[in-house]
Parts: sequence; C-alpha cells; structure tokens
Amino acid sequence: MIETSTPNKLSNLNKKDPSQKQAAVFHKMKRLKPLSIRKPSIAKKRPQIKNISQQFSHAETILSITDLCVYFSATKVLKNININFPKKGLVAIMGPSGCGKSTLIRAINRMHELDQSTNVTGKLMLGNQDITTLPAMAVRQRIGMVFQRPNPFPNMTIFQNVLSGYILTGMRLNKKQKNEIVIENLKKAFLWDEVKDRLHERGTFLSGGQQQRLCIARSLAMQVDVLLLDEPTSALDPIATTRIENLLQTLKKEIPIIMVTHNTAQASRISDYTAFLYLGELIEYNKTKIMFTVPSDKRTEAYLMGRFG
Amino acid sequence: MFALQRNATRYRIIKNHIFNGIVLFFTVLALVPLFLIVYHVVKMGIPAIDWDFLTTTEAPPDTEGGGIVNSIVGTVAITFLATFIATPFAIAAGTYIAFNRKKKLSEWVYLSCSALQSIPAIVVGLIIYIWIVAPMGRFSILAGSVACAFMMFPIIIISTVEVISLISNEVIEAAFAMGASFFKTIMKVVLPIATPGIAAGIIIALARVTGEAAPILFTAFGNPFIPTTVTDPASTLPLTIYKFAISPYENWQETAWGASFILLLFIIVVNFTTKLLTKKR
Repeated sequence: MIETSTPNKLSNLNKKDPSQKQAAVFHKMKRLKPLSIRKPSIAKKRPQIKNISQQFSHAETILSITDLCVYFSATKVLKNININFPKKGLVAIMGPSGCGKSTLIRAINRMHELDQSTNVTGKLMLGNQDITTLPAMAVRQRIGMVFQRPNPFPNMTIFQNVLSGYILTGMRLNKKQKNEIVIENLKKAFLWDEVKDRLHERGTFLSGGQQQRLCIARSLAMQVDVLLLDEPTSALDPIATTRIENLLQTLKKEIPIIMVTHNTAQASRISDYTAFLYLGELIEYNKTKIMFTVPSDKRTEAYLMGRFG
Repeated sequence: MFALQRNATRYRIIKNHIFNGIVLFFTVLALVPLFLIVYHVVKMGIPAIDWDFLTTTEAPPDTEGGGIVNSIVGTVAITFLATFIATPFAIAAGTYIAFNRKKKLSEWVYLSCSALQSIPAIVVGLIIYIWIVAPMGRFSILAGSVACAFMMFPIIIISTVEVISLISNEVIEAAFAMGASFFKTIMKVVLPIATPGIAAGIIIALARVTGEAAPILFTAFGNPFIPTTVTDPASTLPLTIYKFAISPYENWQETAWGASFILLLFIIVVNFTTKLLTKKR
C-alpha cells in the first residue's frame, strides 16, 4: 500500500476493496465539525420570545415591574429589570448564586429600605397602584414574604404566629375572628392536623418544615395579594421540601406566587412560568415548559444543562 | 526514614497527669481568696445579726446593740430609683445602637459608654454633687439615685446592645416583612425576645451600684434615721460599713460586719438570679 500512494491508484483501490472504502468514510467523518459547533442549526428553531411579560394583558397582570435597578452602594446589582407577573400561577425565579434573585424579590417587598446603603429605582405596579409611592409598611401588608430559613417569632405561640400580622400592625380582632383565621390558614398551609393539639406552644418547637409552613400560614393570614418565597426549601430536608412543593401547587390556584429557587428541578416541577436571571439581568422569562425544552438564550441552555451555577 | 518511637506512651501519660494536676491546683488556689473572704465575713457577721439588727436604726457610738434598717431602706430606695431612672434611657439607647450599628452617633454613644464605665465612682459622685446637691442645698436620695443611675447606664446599654444583636436578623426581617412598624417590631418582637438578657443586665448593674460607697458619699451623704422622702439624705449599706468600720467603737464595728454579711448575701442572691435568668434561653 505504501508504494501505491498516488491519487490515481488510491481511487482504484477504493472501488475494489471494501475495507479501503470504510477507511475513506472514516476519514471524511473526522473532517466534520464536532457536535457542539453544529448547534446553530438547532438555535434557528429557538422561539424568538425572550420575555413573555408583554403577552399578559393588563387584567392578567398582578405585579408589573418596569426598569427596576438596585444598587448596593455603588454596585449595580439589578440592571433594568422589566417583568410582569401573572395573576394566576407560580413564577419561579432561578439563576446562579449572586445573580440577584433574592435582591429582586426583596425589592418587591421593599426590604431594601431597611439598609441605608441600598438604592432602588424603577416602577412597581401592584394591580393599578404604583406601590413605590406607598409607605413600605402598607406595601408589605399586601405582599407576603417567606424567607430562606424558617423564622417563626420565637416569643410567640403557634396561634400567635399565625396572627402575628394582625398583632404587629395593631389590628384588633375578637376571639371568634382569631380562631377562624388561625384554623383557616393553618388548614390552607397543610399544618392544621399536625399542630391542632398544641396551638399554644411556641412555634420554634416545630420541625423545620413545619416552621416554614407556619411562616406561609402567617403570610396567608394577612390575605396578601402576592406571596413571595425566597428559596423556601433550601434549608429543609427532601421530605419537608416535597410537602412544601405540594402545598405550593395547591396554593398557586388561589394566590399568585413568586418563588426564588436555585434548584432548576424544583422550578420545572412546580412552576408555570420561569424567569432566568444572570449577573443582574433578566435573560429569559417564559412558560416553564417552553423554557425547559427549547430555551431561547444560550446562557439559559447552559445553565439548565448544569454548565454553570 | 527515621524509626517511629511509640514506646514513650507511659511517659506521656504521666506528663499529662502532672499537667492536669497543675491546672487543677491553680484553679483551686484561685478560689481560696473568695472562700476566705466569705468565711471571714460570715464568721464576723453572723453573731451581729438578730431580729433587732434588721429592724432598728443605728445606735449611738459606744452603746449596746443598734441596727441597720435605715441603711437597708436607703439602699433599696436609691438602687430602685436609680434603676427606674437609668432603665428607660438605657434600653432606648441600646435599641438605637443595635439597629444603627454603622451610624456615627451609635459609634460615639458606644464609645462613651465604655468610657463612662471606667470613670471612677467617686468622680461621678463629685459631679452629681455640683449638679444636684449644691443647687438643691441638701443631700438627698434623689442625688444618690442619679449618681447610681449614671453608673448603671453604660452597663445596661452594653448588655442591651449585645442581647439584641444576638437575635437572628431573619426574625426581625420577618416582622418588617409582615408590615410592622419599627415601634411594633421593637415592642412585640425584639424586646420580648431580649427581655431575659436585658433583665440580667439590669440586675448586674443593680448589684454593681448596691456595693458602691463612693457615689453615695457626696450625694446621699448618710442618715442615722429612716428617710421618708426622696429629698431626704439616706445611708446605704456600703456607706454604713465605711463609716462604722473605721470608727473606734466596738458596737459600730460589729454593725459594720453585720452589714457586710447582709450586702454579701444580697450580691450572691443577685448573681444566682442572673444565672437563672440567662440560663432559661
């Protein structure tokens, strides 16, 4: 074979010897581009919508955020976020750590005002009302928030914890109203059966998952318009996480929920819409099903495939 | 490779025992002065104490008997009035500092608290003499209380700041997230959680001023009779001890020992109460 290396002779050989033909095909294959570089052909099929916000009509929108920027001292942590949240369903906000997920959700509840070095600009509309012009206390009464680590008030009983919103805002209730609110909201939070015999014990004696459900009940008791959850299951074990997820799937039929999560699997399991934040920008916001199957942005795809985050 | 020697184990065990022994010895040695003091005070104080001692006012020099009821009444009046003066200010200041750690004002207040804590009690007494005793023209319980309040102030502030700082930030955030005002958050969440710690701070401060003679010397001055109003001068236990112990009269010296015992008893009780309070959480 070495002596017959002229092109003429090679073509002759190809025709005759099948093994030679195979080698030539292999040679051709090696010259093809590797799989990852061939992606653009798939990208052509990607949906063009990167932000589904515009598709919600005014009546369908509960919370609309326009040009939201958050600065920590001089650092711009959130860069011109425009997002509308629907009246129905659960929106998951995901992204790698440090991308500004929690910052966004805390901006909605005006929690940044507790820290003087933080500056928030932009417009937030809750229904028809611009909530940036309202006092923070009034806004927080209408927007419930559940935190990463369960934090029932340690000085209050389970009963008082559910009513804490009323206690802390100075609203008076009679005994009958109190009982009704506590029972109704503990039932809503799937906690009633577990705690009905010890309503007057301290909330801190409950397990982590129960405490977190108590915190959800406490927010629900205020009849909030929107429920914000900041990584509600990241401090919990898998069983408690499942229970919270089941609870959220029931709750989202009644109340709009916005949930921050770093767990993409969780977002795909329970959310109807997903927003992907990266480095303080809203990269993509779409229906969860669409986003998890055909993401429109490369960065979303990379994150979903676990290449970073 | 060098040969690893493992056969020195016995020597190491002995060395360990010796070290343990030395540590234990010095620990016990540190307790000795305390026990000697308590023993001596109890030995000298107990004989002086009977029902009369606790219910009568002090006797004239060089006579029999005599009690300390005027000092006990004075001590209780001054320390409690001082607590009532100092506590609201101190808790308010402590709360402000705990919530505004980064502000210049809190830094200054915190710093001046540490400074105030180290100002000698006698100097505080002197200042209060100029501020209150001289304008009023008389020594009084009120002046003594203000002097004591000055000394309690930094102790309560610092303990309040520390206790509030220990409350997890998440709980405080939760209260704000429910729509609570700063006032309601403090009254319904922060202070209820911090109460045992703050109470411990107050009691420590109280114990501290109960044992001080110096700020009383120029302000409440001393009074052989039971004071009836806050503008009366009054005796306190440390002041009585000071006055009677340096006197040449035997019955006064005996009274000083009895008063020492009562004071010591009070301080020990207070210390245990604090331990119980802080242990609960």
